[in-house]
Amino acid sequence: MSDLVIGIGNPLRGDDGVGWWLARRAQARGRAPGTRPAPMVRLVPQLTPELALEVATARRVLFVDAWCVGGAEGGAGQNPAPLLRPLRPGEGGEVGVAGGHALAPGALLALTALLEGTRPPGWLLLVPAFAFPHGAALSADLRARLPAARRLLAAWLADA
Amino acid sequence: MTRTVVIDPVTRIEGHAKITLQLDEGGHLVEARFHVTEYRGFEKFCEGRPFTEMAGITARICGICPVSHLLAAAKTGDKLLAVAIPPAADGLRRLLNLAQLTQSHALSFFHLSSPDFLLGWESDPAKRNVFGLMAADPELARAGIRLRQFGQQILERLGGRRIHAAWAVPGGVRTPMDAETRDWILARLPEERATVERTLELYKGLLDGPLRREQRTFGDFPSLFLGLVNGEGLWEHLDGGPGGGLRIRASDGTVLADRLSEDDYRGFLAEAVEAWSYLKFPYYRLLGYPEGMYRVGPLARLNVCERIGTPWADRELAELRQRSGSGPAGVITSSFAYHHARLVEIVACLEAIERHAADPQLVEGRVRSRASLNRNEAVGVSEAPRGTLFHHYRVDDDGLITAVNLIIATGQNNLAMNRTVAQIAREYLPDPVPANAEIPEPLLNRVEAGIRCFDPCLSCSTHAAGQMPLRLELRDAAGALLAERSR
Repeated sequence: MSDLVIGIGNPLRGDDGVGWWLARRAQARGRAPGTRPAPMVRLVPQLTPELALEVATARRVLFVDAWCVGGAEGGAGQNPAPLLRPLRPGEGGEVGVAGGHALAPGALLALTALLEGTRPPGWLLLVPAFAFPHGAALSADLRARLPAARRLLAAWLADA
Repeated sequence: MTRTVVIDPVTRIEGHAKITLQLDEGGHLVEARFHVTEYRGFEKFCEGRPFTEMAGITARICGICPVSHLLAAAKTGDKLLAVAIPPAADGLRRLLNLAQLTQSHALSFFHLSSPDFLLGWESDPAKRNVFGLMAADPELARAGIRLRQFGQQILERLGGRRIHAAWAVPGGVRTPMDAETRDWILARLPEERATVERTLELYKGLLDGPLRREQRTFGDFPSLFLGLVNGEGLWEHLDGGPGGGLRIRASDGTVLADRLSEDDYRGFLAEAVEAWSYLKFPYYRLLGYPEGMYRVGPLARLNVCERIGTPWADRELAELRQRSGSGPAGVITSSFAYHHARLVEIVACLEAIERHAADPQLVEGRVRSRASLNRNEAVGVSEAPRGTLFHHYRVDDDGLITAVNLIIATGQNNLAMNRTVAQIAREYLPDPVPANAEIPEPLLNRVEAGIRCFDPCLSCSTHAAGQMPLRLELRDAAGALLAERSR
């Protein structure tokens, strides 16, 4: 079974595209000799229910997303840093469903369990996001944090 | 004292919006306003870009229906090149749009709206969602997800990438369909037919029972309807072809305008602006604002066409008109019928997908006409899941965009959505509203459900994880908060 990396966001809305940016790096790493299969990579604007059918086939799932500095996630502080953490069982199981076409990562995993009877372990890689203008450019504040985010991504991919 | 009830933002629709119910001094409802408070700004952003990039750029306006913008942009590009696309490319674009309609309608019906129908308006809002649906009817929930997946996988297989694949280009498409994709589609169709057949049976039973009141009170009013038809007046979703085009039909069945060309859209459509919303208010120019209110989308497409042109879909359309329509043309005026119309359109899509998938030229045919820029202005049109979509570009001699106007389906339904919310509020709010009234959850959900009939897609261009809570505020004329409710 492969790992699944899901990059979430809009690459034409500034820092919102960082999920895609990092997921593409995971795709580019490919498969090293003697290692597990290369990760499957999905680039999506939001999580939708049919993704559960794919999640069910994965060994582990990593959701890569931007988080708004000042929001609840990650604890903004004065110098917010990228964050990698496991999704707790039941976390977000129903929260986020009201958000429309989009599901929260925890809700997608919960839906996967209901639909397919399996729930691969999930992780979140969240990168502080500062600006959402039209355009593909990431903000200087976010770019300064990309090396740390890439190290977290590499660590997750290397963790068999 | 004038008071205002605010629902902010609306849940289970795309983008950010709020609903204000304006009460007069006696506590009677005066009007409803569906505010769109997020400015998207993509039209300005496109200026200076090559027109050949427009498909890829505009497809990123929306993560739910990117194909709609992709096709409208490609069709506008065809006109700037002044080329006729190969027949195989037309068939492939049609297949793409049919898959898009299927997946979008499946998401709207099964995941967003059916929890209301199947679990009940008074059910716990924490469970009135796809999880509640899984618990109540796991087979249906799973089938709905697989139907959505079917459409998504066609998009992915044709375009090479599920979202934002710039596969449709000015002049045609990039690649033909491979034989494996054709075989996969044809093998999967029986399952999807069975899903829709069972769902239609279930839904008709609900219409005969618990949903009777909603049919009558969820936006049932006269209006115009606009959509594409082909040269024989049949259902159309991409290009009317010779003798076809845009048709406007009134609620009494009268065809007010026919065979309209998108090139002349400014002649028959105009857009009003209100200070309280970023969403414009298109209307039929000849009747003025707001009398020229019209609706687009699945219900409008089924109202403007004579019939669909495939056997099962025509039977379902006839039954829909018999159940919900009136007059010799069987025009349906209840916005609640958008849900039923989506199911009928899925039937039409599945029948048309089968026909296109079996067409050998989609695997073998020439798929792209090549030319350089030959015109400096063009208008393209397509039928998106939510309705008619116009792209209008002006370019300089280097093909760089100098001006863009996008008229999106949700905007065209704007007036009708306001009218729908007002009708629901009048039906379900006490009249007059007592000063200390609490707004019960089932009422809130009905107001929101009235909006969801149109499946509006306002903007999902920045998703901002963790947002979209629901907040209800009751404010007096001075803006003071009288009551608040959130979930």
